[in-house]
This record gives sequence, structure tokens and C-alpha cells, in this order.
Amino acid sequence: MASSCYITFPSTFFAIRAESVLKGQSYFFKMVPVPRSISSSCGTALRCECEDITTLKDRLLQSDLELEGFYRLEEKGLKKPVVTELYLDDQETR
Amino acid sequence: MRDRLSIIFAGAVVGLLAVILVLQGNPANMGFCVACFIRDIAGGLGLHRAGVVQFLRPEIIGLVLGAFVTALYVREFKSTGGSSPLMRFLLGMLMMTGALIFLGCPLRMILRLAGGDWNALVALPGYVLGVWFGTLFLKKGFTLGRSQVQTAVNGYAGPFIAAVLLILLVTAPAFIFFSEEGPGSMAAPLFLTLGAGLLVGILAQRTRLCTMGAIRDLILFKDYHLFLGFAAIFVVALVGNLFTGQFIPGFEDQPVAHVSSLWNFLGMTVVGFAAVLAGGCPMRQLILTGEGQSDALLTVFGMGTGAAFMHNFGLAGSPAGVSPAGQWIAIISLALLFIIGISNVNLHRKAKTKDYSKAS
Repeated sequence: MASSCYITFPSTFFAIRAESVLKGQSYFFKMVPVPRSISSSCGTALRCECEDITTLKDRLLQSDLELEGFYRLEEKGLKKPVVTELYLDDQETR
Repeated sequence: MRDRLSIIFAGAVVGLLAVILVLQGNPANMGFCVACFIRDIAGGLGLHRAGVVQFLRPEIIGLVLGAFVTALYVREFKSTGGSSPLMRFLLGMLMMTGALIFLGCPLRMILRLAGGDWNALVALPGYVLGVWFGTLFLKKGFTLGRSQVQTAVNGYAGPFIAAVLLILLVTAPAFIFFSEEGPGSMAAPLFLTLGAGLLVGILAQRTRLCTMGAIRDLILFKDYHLFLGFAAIFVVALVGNLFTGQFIPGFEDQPVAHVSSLWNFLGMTVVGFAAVLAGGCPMRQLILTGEGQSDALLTVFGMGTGAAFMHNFGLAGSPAGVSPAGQWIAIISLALLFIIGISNVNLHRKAKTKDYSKAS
């Protein structure tokens, strides 16, 4: 069962900025459309390894980015993925 | 994987239905055309008097109601709005302006291409250029502001209007216009057109199929998820047209099309640019309307008004080409989009530094 984590943003602008802030650093991440199981909106999310999500969140908040939400998504092949909303400590956007 | 298969399936269904609808009576290469059909509805309501394009198209009604019922069922229906309503109305008008210069929305551009209309091949790079212009503004911080949760009546307005249009279509009162000749008189049977609209509304709500997002995500993030849907529409419609003898390659004598390459190109540049700033292609605006977004409904109203404007003043393209006034409108539209883009950059940053709530 593959599991990955996602950070969502209030607008595409912040997603683009997040990509430029994290570019060149050693984290594995990719900008992707927000998974359908997380939201029906058509925004962009940052997909990352779950062990990195708190570090990435801190790094992005340090750069004055506005973040919307944090999720863990467990894919089960063709079955509906299981989505868990994460409540990370000191998250000032909540 | 599941998301990916879903969007390919949705695109394939749209492509297949488009071919079937043309076989059953819709105008050629116009199985689905959101801009053309909204224009027809504006004509059916008498907002413009171009006699050949007046019909309350059931596909549009179905798209909104299909998305509405699905959103209710999966609890994703939410009344929201209030994010730059005037800008959204204007962007809807501009989107329609570009579409009526080219003679089709992005969806019809794909279908025209799949039917062998090479004029659409000229329009495609124009559309990509328009989306690229839009992404430049997104990178600079363009935003129309956050939408707010609104009272329920705002969200239900779009589906309610769609239901009223359906009643008007079925009862056909004397004050509703129905074309007796031209594209507006050509339509597949009601159960097919309404059914196709409903089905696509459901699928598009579930998958977020968007012809603008497809190109935007490729340009911004090299992500091809939404593009898979775009490509599936093309491939299935192409195969369907080849099998049914509807693939007729060439520039000349294409149905509801003209050969003015510059204006085909620029018309779609306007559509692509406006769609990025408005946050979705014409079809996506209908789906968002069904999900309860009153901002999207305003964009659709803008599209209807834009259609009336273009036809009442003789600005829309026709098989004869684009009139000089229509050419000016395309250029003015592009200029207006740049103005809207520039004037809404970094709005949220200013809002962050200036707290208006404390001023009152």
C-alpha cells in the first residue's frame, strides 16, 4: 500500500512559490493537481514523503508562504484511496 | 492510478458522445461546444437575434444538473462566491468573445481537430499561447481573491436556472426562439442531448476534466494528469470520426468554421488567457456552477452576455471570416486581459499588509 503526503495551498501563486523555495534542496517532492479524493477544487498540491512533511511545512512558513492543509493519502490500487487530514503542530494557518 | 484512469475514461466518454451526437443530428464537429451552446441559449432567450443560432441546448442544462446532483450526492455541494464578481463576469464575456471569433470553445477546438478541420490546428498553438500568458500572471501572484461561504440560495441559483431552462425547452412558449435553419436548428433528440449533458456533468464533476487546466499544468508543473483527459477526448473522437466517415481533412469548407488563420489563432489566445484568469475553461465553469459556486455562474452569465454582444453588433466570426470590427474586438479583448491580469497581481499581498477590518 503506497502512501504519500500532500500540502495544499490557497492559490496557485503559493504553489509556484513553494516549488521555487524548495528547488535545489535535497527533499523529494513534486507539484501535482490536488488529488481528487482530497478536494473537488482544481488547485495544485505539493506531494512529498510523509517523514519530510513537517520539515517542508516549516521551511515554507519561514518563507512567508500561505499553506492550506496537510494530508496523508494511502493508495490501494484501483480502490478508493484513504485520506487522513494531518494536524501539524504550530501550524499558523489553522 | 485510479484518478488517472478516471480522467481518461471521462475524456473518452466526452469524445464518444460528441461523435454520437453529431451522427444523431447535432451540427458537424459540434457534438459538444460549450461556448456555441451558451450562445444558442442566449439566442433562444432573445438576448440576440441571430436567427440561425437560437436554441435552448439541453447539453448545457445537463452539464449543470449532472454536476449538481453528483455534488449533492457526494456532499461536495457548497454555496460559495464573492471573489471578484465583476472581474469574473468580464472574463466570461472575453472568453466568449474569443470563442466566437474562432467559432468554438476549447472543447470544440479538440473536436474540430478530430474531424480533420486543420483551422483548429492553427488555433491550438494560439490557445497554448493564451494559457501561457495566463501562467505568467499566476507566477506573478495574480488572484481574484478567496471566495466566501454564502447563503444556500446563491449556490442553488445555477441549478435552478438550468431547471427553468429545461421547462422552457420542453414547453416551448411563444417567447422562446427556436432556429428554423442553420446550426441552431440542428440537434440530436432531447433524450440523447440531455442524457449526454448529464453524463458528462457527472464525470466532469468527479474528475475535474478541464481543457485549460490540461495545458496550464503542463506549462507550470510539467504535470500531465489533466492533459490525459484532453488527449482522450481527441483520440476517441478521432477514431469515432474515422469509423463513421466524419473525418474530412482540410482547411476549406469545414462546418461552422472560417479559414482566417490569424483570427483563429488570436481568438483562441483570448479564450486560453481568459480561462486561466477565470480559473477554468467554459465547461469547467458550468461544472463549478453545478457545485454551487456563484462566481462560476457569473462567469457563465458573462459568457451569455458576451454572445449577445458579439451577435447584436455583428462581431462574431462566420464561415465568411471575421469582420474588421470583429478583428478589433479580438485585439481589444487581448488588451483588456492584460489590464485585468496586471491590475489583479499581488492583491493578496496588499491585503495582508493592510488590514481593512480595523479601519471600519
